[in-house]
Amino acid sequence: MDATTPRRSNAGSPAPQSNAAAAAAAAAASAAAAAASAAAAAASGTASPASSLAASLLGGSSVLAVASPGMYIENLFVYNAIFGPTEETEHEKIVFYHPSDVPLDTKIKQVGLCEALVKFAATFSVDRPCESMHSMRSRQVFFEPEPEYWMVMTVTVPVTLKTGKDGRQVEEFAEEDVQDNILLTALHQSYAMFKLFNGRFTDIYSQFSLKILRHKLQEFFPRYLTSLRTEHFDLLTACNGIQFMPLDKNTYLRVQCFVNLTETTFPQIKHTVFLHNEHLIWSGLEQDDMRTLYRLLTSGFLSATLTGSSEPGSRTTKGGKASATGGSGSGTNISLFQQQQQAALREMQPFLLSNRVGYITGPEDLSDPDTPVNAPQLFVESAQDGESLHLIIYQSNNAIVCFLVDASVHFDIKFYRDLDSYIAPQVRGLSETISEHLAKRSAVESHYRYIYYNHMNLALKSTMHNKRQLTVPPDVLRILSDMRSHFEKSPLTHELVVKMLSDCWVVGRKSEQREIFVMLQQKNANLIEINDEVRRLCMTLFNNIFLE
Amino acid sequence: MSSLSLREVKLCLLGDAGVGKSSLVLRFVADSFNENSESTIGASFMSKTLIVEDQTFKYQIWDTAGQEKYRGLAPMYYRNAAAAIIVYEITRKQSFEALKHWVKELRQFGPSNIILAIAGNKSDLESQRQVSSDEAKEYADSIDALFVETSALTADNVSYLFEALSKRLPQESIAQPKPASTVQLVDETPNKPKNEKCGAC
Amino acid sequence: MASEIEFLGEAPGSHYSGDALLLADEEADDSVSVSGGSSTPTSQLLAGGVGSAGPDTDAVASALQAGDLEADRDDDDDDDDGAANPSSSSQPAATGGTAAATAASPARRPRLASTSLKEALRAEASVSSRSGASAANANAAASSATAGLAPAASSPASNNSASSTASDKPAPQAAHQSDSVVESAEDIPFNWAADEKHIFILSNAGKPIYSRYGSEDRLVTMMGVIQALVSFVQDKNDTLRSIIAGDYRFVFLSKGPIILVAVARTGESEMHLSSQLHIVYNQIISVLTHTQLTSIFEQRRNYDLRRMLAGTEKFFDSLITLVDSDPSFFLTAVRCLPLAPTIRNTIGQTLQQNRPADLLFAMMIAEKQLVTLVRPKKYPLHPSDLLLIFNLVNASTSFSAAESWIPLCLPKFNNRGFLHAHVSYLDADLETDADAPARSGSGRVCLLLITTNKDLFFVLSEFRKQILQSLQATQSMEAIQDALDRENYRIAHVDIAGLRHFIYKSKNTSQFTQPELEAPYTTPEERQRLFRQYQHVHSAIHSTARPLKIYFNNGSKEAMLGWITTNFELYATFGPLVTKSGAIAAVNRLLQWIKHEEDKLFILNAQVF
Repeated sequence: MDATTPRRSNAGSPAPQSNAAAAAAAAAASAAAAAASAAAAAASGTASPASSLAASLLGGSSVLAVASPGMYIENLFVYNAIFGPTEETEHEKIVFYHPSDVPLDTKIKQVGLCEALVKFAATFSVDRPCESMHSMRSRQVFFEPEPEYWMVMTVTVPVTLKTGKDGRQVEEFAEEDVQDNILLTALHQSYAMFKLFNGRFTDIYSQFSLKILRHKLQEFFPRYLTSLRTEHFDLLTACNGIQFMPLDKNTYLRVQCFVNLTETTFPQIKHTVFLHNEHLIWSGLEQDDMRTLYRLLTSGFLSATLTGSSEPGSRTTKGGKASATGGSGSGTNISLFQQQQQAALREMQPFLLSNRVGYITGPEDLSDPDTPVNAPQLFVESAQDGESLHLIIYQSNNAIVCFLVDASVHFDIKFYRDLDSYIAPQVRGLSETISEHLAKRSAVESHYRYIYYNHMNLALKSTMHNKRQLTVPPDVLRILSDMRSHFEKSPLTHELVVKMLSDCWVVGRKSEQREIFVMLQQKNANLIEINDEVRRLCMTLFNNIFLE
Repeated sequence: MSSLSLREVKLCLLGDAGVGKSSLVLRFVADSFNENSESTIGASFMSKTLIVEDQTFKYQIWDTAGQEKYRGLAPMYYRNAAAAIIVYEITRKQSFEALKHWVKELRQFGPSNIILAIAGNKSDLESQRQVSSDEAKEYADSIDALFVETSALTADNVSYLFEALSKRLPQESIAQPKPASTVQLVDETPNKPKNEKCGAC
Repeated sequence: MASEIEFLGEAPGSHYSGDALLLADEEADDSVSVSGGSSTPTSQLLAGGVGSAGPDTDAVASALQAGDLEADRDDDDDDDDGAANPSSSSQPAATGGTAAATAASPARRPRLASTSLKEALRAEASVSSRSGASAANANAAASSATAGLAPAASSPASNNSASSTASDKPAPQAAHQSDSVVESAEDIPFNWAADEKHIFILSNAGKPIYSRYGSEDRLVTMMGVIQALVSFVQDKNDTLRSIIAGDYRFVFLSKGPIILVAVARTGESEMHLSSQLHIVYNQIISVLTHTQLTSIFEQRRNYDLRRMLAGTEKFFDSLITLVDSDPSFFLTAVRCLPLAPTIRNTIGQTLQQNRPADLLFAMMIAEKQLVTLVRPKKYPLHPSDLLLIFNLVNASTSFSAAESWIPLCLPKFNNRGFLHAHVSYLDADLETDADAPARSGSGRVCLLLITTNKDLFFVLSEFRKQILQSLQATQSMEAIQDALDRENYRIAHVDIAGLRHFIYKSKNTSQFTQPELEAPYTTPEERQRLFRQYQHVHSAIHSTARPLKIYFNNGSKEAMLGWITTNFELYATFGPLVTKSGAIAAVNRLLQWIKHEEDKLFILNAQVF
């Protein structure tokens, strides 16, 4: 495997992120030079999409997605009882199990328990299956994405040691801090992401084999889980929405116009998606596909995917110079270095680096006619029969444009060059316009802490988050999540107003398909004043903020 | 009502759960019957005055619960009793077998001069009979007990049971001073059933 | 004999979060031991109940055989294992005991649902054998052609012993007949989805103890699965709390030797369902004491507890029904019969005058409302104990026919011993000397005199007569009857526009008040919905992790405000169109009204001695 130095750290200076870089640097001291450079590349966020090194570091490892000190993903597995009908073949029903290095016996027991739970629950709840199991130490969520295929994810309950009266240490489990709806969504998302890159379990099984299915799951999930950050599991996860970019009509029409012209000029492009600053402006995809693609673009998983060379089916284009894959990640010896490397990757902002211009997926080097092309195939609902859609991502500063191109039509490096020269000035121009527009309105919103979600178009907006940091206490988000569950369960309720022990007020409102959650830190306010404040907020912000 | 002499009689009903002890008492005391009779919890106490051959008997009746878990409480009720009615149901053989154990226990731990009566209840359910009159009678004779088949439902033989029992009481039975308000100062339960291995207190 | 009340200096484990003790005028959480000398009722009960040498046991000994075999083997098993492996209990039965074998052999062609359950169990059984707890276990599992039958197979066997020894049910020719009965019962598919809430109780060995619906006999497979699930999680040093599937919530509570499970699609929170299971557990304790419950299963892991609970099922049924309509239970508070304070004082004094030395608690209860309670200053009565007493009175009609003398354990007061309660209705005519027929079931005002002294019955009976005379002399009985006839107050009396209903709990006294339900809450469905709504607000506001001060729930059918302060909890229901300012104004007026009516609605001064 060749350790490539980053080739695409072209524009601007790589801004090292202190912690991760330090960690990586420390690791580098004790590692091979080539690896170290890759580490540095990763740490500085300029990981080359083609760099296959990181992939081998990530692939097949059994390192869990450790996150907050309390809550981490203990395991995630997929089983299908049909594959192991007898006691002798029992182990066959386990299609995938992470971490892989637990004894088979333990795996079988776990799966056995889940089967029993699912069947037990089904004797009562005939039409809706088992969703979750709560125990003192862990929380388990269940999902049957396709008939007979069960996905189960187990998360540990955060625990703190408290000193009891007698001076002995007592474990205290924060069971209520783990919320089912969030974990369930996270599990559903993991399936959606797998499906986006690999297609359905049943299709893989019927078109290839069980062995291939196992292989694909093994290729995908460990890496995906590594990118998951359970400390970011909150109401936003549960909403599973998309942040839209509010634009004035003129600018919006310019984007629309650009998309239309580009698609006309390059008929291989079947769908286009336009984002700015992690906010969606234009999407030609169906909603469910868009939501998963959006998560890909805004989470750490894209970098993991791009650095991962081993994504099955993602490496080839029709004209096919399949670049050297880094092997399916040996993962035989996970050194301290590797772990730090992973930590560094996780710390990396999800690839959207300002000042960057060019293809993120696609050809590595436009000047080299033999350059490897890395455009992963996507399995989207939007695809027509026979279409093999591959994802090309193009960035220009804060703007991201994704093209889904039909690779069944022959195209080569010329296509990428033509496309690049066609869109580059336009995207740059749009990006600048949008940035200016944004600068004007940012002042208005800072005052309120709220989350808005629209079920119809998945529009999501949060000022309770800044990048990925919370701007409100975590308990507030948990209360919001409780509220949201209640809205779901009791359709009669349309408003909830609570005052927390900290005297902080939290308001949730639902109207048709829209939900808004507001936090107001006005200790001495009463219910009436809080009500007035929320009314003001809705008037000022929600008359014109979304394109609906 | 006038009476030449008032005799207070402490009476205790024993027998398997569900045989109809409470119903018998209710029929005797209030001449009524409750279709939906519930299991007795612990024990219940009632009194009833009965005149037999110019003598007035004031029955103070302990109706005990038949369930296994109350079994240990039984001595509390029979230890000062002048008479005991042990009830079985003619439709359930097992209740008759259980009766024999009550007799054994009373003979062993109860007052030595206690008058016993055996009541075969639910005589209205002739078609489901499992215990023959002869068998029961024979057994009653063998232990020198009064035997009556009764029906609390139809009231059949209920008053007869108590009248016959009254007649059996020894003429000069221990005139109990004023039993209604006697506080049992005796601490030890006399002759408790033997098994104490579970005593946890 | 003097009653001995001694401190044991050990607080009983309370799962309630610091609920104020009823009428407590001091901070007291002391556990009290009540022992009436060397021969306590407990030991007597145990002697009769548990031992194999009790006077009765010969009679059922033969019928018991299968069960005994099982139990004995099980004991051996435990010795071998060193640690009790709960799932192992089932396996010896598969190979052991002829009764068990024959019961299992007509390998019933199972219906679909039970097949899957058995399969679920198969996984469980094979797991436990694989973990190799003991070679014997593994053999047992392997030797039965399908290991899956092992746990299920034990059930009919245990059934045998269960129904044949449960002495109140006719079971002649025990083994044969009851087996066929069981078999046919299991063949009829049971629609589990039909009922909104199930409550199951089983032993750690998987033996059925209680089920709200259906007979426990048909539940053996279900119980086996529950036992397997619970013990599997336990083996990982973890505790199974709940499962969620659609609208269903399954809540598990493992308490000592027994497991309680609630299966509900009522929308109730895990907290509430779990607390209901605790209440049901306390009901068991109140029948058996904790001491007895523990020792029963220490002696025989496979004991069929139904034998000991026989006759008390109605209290469980009633309790489980009550928690779905009576706010007392989630509030852990009682309701008082509204009475003028002077009348209530008179009644309280009546209960105090010339009271026998050994009297511990004296109380009057009328239609689930407390009239008065008299208690020693040192010993407050926990509201949840009082609620068990309410249920006892409420569920039983037999108390009005006679004076009853019942052993009773109050779990919060002392879960290790029995108290004795003299129970009678004051307005039912028990004076049968006059040959007047007893008006069975007619009583409304129940008197309970509770003592530590098991020999106090006749003293208390006399005391009751004295109380009755005194109440009649002071016209107190009439006052109580009047209050009962008057029915509860209506929201119209409160006269606050927009306010439809409310529940107010006085935290210091653990008492609550609520008006009658009126339109639009006239149908059972609407009443139930409102009750669930109250439960929801209560649950949200009492969240252990995220407690709240105010919870305002605005819905299309009504708006509900929950508000907690240090002194009270208020839950107020308004029409859906109420404004926030309207609601706040109404609540302020309501609080004034309650303040004004306080001394009638609540017992503010505890009657203590």
